[in-house]
Amino acid sequence: MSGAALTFTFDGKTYAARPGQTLAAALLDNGVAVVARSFKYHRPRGVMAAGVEEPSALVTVGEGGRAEPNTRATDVFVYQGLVARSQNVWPSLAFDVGAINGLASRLIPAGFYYKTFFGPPRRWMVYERFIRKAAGLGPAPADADPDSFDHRAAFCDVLVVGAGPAGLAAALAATQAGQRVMLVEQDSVPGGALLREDVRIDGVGGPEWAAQAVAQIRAGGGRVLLRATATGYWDGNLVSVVQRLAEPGQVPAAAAPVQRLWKVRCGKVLLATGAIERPLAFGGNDRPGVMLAQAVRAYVRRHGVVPGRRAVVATSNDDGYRTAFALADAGAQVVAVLDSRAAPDSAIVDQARGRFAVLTDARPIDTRARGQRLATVIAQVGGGEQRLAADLLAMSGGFTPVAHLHKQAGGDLAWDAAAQAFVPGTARQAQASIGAAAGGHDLAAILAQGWAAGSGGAPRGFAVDDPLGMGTPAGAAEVPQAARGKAFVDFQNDVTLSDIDLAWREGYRSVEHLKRYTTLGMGTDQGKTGNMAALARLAQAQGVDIPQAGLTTFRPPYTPTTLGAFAGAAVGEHAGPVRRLRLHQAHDDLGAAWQPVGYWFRPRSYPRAGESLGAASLREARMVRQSLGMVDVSTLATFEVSGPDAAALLEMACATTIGRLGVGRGRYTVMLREDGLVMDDGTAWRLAEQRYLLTSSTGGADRMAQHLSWLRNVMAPHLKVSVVNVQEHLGAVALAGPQAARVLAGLTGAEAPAHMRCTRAVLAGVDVLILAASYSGERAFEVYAPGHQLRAVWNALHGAAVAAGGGAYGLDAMDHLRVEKGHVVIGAEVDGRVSAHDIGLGGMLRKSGGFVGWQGQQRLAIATASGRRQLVGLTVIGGQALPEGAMLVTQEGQEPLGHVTTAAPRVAGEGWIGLALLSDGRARDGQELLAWSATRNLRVPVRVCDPVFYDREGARYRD
Amino acid sequence: MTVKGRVIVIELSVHDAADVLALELWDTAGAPAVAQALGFALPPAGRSAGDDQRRAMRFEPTVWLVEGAAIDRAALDAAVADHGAVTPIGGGLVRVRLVGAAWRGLLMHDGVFDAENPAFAPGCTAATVIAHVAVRLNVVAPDRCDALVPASLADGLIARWREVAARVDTPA
Amino acid sequence: MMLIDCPHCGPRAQEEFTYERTRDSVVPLDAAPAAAMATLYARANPRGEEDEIWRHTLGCRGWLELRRHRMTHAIVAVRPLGPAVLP
Repeated sequence: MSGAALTFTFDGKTYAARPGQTLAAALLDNGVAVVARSFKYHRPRGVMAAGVEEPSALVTVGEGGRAEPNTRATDVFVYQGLVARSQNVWPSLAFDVGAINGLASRLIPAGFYYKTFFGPPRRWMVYERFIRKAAGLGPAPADADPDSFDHRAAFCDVLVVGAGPAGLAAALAATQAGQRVMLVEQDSVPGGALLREDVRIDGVGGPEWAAQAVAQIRAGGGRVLLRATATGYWDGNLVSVVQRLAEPGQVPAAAAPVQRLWKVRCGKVLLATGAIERPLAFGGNDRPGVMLAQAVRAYVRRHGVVPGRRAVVATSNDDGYRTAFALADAGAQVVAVLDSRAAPDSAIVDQARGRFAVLTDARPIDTRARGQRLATVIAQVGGGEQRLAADLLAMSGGFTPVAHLHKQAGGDLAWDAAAQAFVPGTARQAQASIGAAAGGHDLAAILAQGWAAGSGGAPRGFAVDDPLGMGTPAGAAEVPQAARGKAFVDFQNDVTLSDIDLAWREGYRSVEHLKRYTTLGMGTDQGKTGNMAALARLAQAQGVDIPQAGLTTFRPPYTPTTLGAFAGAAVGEHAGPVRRLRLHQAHDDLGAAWQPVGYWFRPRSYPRAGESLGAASLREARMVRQSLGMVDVSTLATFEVSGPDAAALLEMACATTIGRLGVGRGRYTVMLREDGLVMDDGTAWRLAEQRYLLTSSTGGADRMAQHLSWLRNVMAPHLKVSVVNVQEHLGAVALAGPQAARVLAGLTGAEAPAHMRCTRAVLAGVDVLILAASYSGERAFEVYAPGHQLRAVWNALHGAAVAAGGGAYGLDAMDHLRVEKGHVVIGAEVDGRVSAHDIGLGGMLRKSGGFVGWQGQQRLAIATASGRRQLVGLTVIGGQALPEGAMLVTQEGQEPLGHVTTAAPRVAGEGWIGLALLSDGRARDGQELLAWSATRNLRVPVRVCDPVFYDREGARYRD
Repeated sequence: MTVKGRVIVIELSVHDAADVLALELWDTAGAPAVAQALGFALPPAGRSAGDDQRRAMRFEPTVWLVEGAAIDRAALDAAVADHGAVTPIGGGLVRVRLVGAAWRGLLMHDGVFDAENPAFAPGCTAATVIAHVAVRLNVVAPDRCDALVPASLADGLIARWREVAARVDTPA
Repeated sequence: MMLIDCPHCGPRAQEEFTYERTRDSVVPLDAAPAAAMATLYARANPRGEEDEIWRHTLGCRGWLELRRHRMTHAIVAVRPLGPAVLP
């Protein structure tokens, strides 16, 4: 450990740390024994582990929007100025009133919360408020996260997860074999197990060998990511990796992202994820000072911290002995080694006997504390008991291979009876587990196995120098027996052995029920240290072997991941794509009020200073009726359909005739779904002998593009036709009003086309297409030009329009105008439940059929059934506005007969009108009903009428 | 505290794509005449042919995008004849030119396509999605990749690319 | 997250594709009304392999039919749909 000392604060107090230390290591180094209070009982907790499996030492790191609650102190590396705080305490960590819960623990065992659901709901609402406050973890920050996150794809032939000895050997081999290699490691330095052991590989110390290996892999073109957790394993050998570019709460350099989510597509995945040590179950096994044995070694060897002066080592296997040696070498006193085995027989045990007091058939059963810290270990030794004074208990209950990603990938687990552990069995995707993750324990064997996995079988030996020797395999896991006091199994959720027994007594037999009844394994640590002990206890109660007791499901993410990492750059204004009009700036210059329409932003009106939106839209609509207006209709779906079979394709999609259009003519048309209901509407124009333009609604544009492509490629691939989506290519401005034809002719030098005819012309030097179609009810022209030339067209039209007493109008005015003409809108009047017959277009349908939906629309229930909701118009009786969406009833409180689909102020007149879908509407002409909105508390009397309120004969089109 | 890194060096320039035409053949018999008019054969899947003055790019099974100032539209229409159709689409596109070796890394952000694969080399094309936007990529040179982007979505994507290209990137 | 082998583009991420419908749900335009509605609303829904129609919407925009195991997502066959194509 080198580099200048760092300072950080914990609960307001400043401490020193060495670079490379985790917060946990630094706190231990500073003698801070208690760092947290447990979830339910508020028991004082210290640091138990050294890695991400830490269940107890949860703190909040960082401030404001950067704060990360429930950060494992073992999974954050100290940086200068780090601010950390304890959680779930009041008034302080040292004196926490919540500890009262512990005194009342008999009343609140596992399942008590579930039991509170029985009984009167009102009572529950009272004590729920207390329960909420009494337990929990850290609160989520209320401020917005100021940091940015990144998403990135990556591809490789081999992804190696874990840069311990197995992973490094595999990545080295694969790199040398010329593969595209990626190696990810959640720690800040490579090495894994090597960081806590005193071993040499090929003559070089473990950590140094690891660093050299990484350098070689990078030199060979491999990609090595540190502080990167492989967090999910998906179909198609896709692995998601969350990489920390900054530590929790750390301010990043110059707006750099703090985390990067990699989506890695792999040829093959090698899982070198190691194994997690199991705690032992005995009374008070959660006291500060009780730690996992491998973790103690990690603190001693890697971080230079000895977390106690008088230590007891309690183990069920050979590996725990290594900790006794590490402690003794570092100057701590090892009071005794408690080995739960009756007659352990291996080289390491023999070495240990020469140095420490080794007690066999010995296990801790209870503990005592002094000032919240461990002080005494009560052990059962053979038939009797011993009390050992110790402030550190290093426990090892066996090892659980980390098989999470293997299981997520669909692999199954096999049971290793000797190790009493689940090991990865058959893999379903192209992956393999190596090293301790596969149940391995011998370093030389692990290195060789890793190399073979990475090289595709080519072998290589490594010279391993391990003073303590490997001995027999890390032995059987300790099956927890009856213990005194609180013997914790799930430390994070405060689940004890007695809770598991209680669940069994209450009839919860399956592991899925056990989990949910006790909340075992449901904390942020997902049961990494607790699940196996619980399973062993359950199997014991069931009278079966552990594998028969079952396992719960492994789900991503492997470690808690902040939501920002999943969102990436798609936050705030960038949460989704935004489609911008070519003329956006032009509208902005005119003071447009903007309206989101799907992904687009469109002008809803151009209010003048002090003008309300409603006043603006009515003014604009009247301007169209009286002189002229222009509106940007570039978002309409447009398709150029060419070829000898163009009309044939259009007649598959459109339910009206198309093929009879002469060149230069257009018509309104409607498109049905296969079930016979209306999908979309639009217009079709014959531009040339074998070239048509189809327009349809903005909102349905992507759907129509998909539909036309479907018809062309899947239903009629033999047709000689080309369908090109030109929605992006063409922009359009609609010019409407009594002055429109004159103004257009003035700009093009040619007569404007007659209603439902199309021509080409030159306007402001741009080659434009003019379609004489009217949405507003006035004589109107849609002027189409390629997007990059649209501005010139708009400028020319606007100049001329203003000179003629007109101007620009927006969506709201457009809506008022079309309501007066009874034009339906897909999404308002046509909502997916409406047939062509319902909106009065039944006569338009092609009798010869052959269009999508021809079979469906024939169904009696759609074509002729009574009671169907039909399009009608409504006039308001009186001066009120008509609430859109209001139900139509004969009397308030009655079953609705229909609803108001669109409401608008009359443009050519006073008062409000609307369009509606009304049961048997066409037969109710003249009937008076009530438009009733219970949610807005409005009731407006209306009269049913024809949906066309203005110029029924269409005279306005023919001036 | 600063994080050591290297800056991705990329020159990003934006151009209009008014010249782009969609050439569709519903009848493969039209290919020889079109090749004659272009001066080179229509490229196969995932490839482009020609140069900045006159180029054809294949992104779709039956459609080639044709671009370049030297393209003679009338000759192309005549060559295509009854075998297909030529439709201008350039008004709906924006051309983004990425120059610098780091273009490959840039395109990996918010994407799902393997732009870092050495096999994706000059003369290769790919249509894919980046940051929710459909993009059509053409590798022109070892350190130049062109992207055709829908006009309405271009601003957002280009802003995102500029942001990614400018900031410090930790060494991979 | 699947990797789909597009006949035109090669293996690409699932995100580039849209699922359209099952092959058995396709209603021929010349089907009689009763048969058409039966096809539209009845599904085989097997717990095994099924033929599905997808589109490479954010790639080459071409259509494909693939046979996918609906439990394991393993894709066992892919073929293009559409007109004759120049190689």
